[in-house]
Amino acid sequence: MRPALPRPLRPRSLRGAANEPERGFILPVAIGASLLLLLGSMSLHSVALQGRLAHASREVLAGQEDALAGAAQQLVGQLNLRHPCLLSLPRERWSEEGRSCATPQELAVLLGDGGSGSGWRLLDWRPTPVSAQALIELDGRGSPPQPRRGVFAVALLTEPLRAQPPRLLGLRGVTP
Amino acid sequence: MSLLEVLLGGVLFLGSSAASLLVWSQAVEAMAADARRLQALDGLEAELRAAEIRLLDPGLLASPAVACGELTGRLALALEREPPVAGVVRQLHWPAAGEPLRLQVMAGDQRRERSYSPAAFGGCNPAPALAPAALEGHGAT
Repeated sequence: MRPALPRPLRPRSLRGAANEPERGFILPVAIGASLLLLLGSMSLHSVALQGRLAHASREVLAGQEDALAGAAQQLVGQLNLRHPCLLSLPRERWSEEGRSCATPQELAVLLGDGGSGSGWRLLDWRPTPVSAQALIELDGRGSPPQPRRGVFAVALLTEPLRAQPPRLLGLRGVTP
Repeated sequence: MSLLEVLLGGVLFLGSSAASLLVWSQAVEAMAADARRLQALDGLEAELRAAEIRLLDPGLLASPAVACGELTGRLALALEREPPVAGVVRQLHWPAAGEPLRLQVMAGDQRRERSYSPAAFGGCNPAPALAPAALEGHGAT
């Protein structure tokens, strides 16, 4: 019996390609274009959100600057009106040497301590013969609380000793 | 390429195009609104800076003998000396004698407020003050 001759091999790939349905290019192109469109719009949206966040933080900062400027005006006004002896004393000496022109309750109000409800605290008062520097901190109300400090320069006049309006030198954030 | 593929691709592309257009229009609208608010904030900032400069007038630094009410009137007149920056509405509030003078500036939906204590301008005498009527007509510009 004569052995059967092997059949010539036919490339399977060609045979398979002949049996598969033909694929077009429309669907991949549509998927790619859709992804590009969605990615582009998402990036534009994120840029808009970033701008809005920056704008909101600038609004908060402007409000804090206004509140700090008002606090500095209030402080200097009170010092000029009722407690001029404190103008030439550093803050840490107010409680001892400032008794001549301020009661402990008045000092607590001036410093913003003791729940005076003013919304600010005087952290530092550094006088020189001709000027003083004040560091005031807002108590950071709001959600989330964002405490902020302002540094003010105050020119001092003599005979009698009195202070000129405070000038804001700069704002500082407070690290929680 | 079959009809089903064309339909599917078309629906997919149209849907994503519509969604993208919606997001784009919202983003562009939000950016335009932010630009308007930013411009308003810049106007308010300029107005407040101008007010601070007007208040640096050496003539406003009174001696402690000047009545606080009179000094408040001087401050208000100094603040009202010039018209506000374009697009900014300015209002002065003078609650009572010796109380801080409040300056409100508004532009669009933005608003800022500063308060000025007359005693902070070199001190003043907390004596009976001028009647607020002295400044009537200067309340809002």
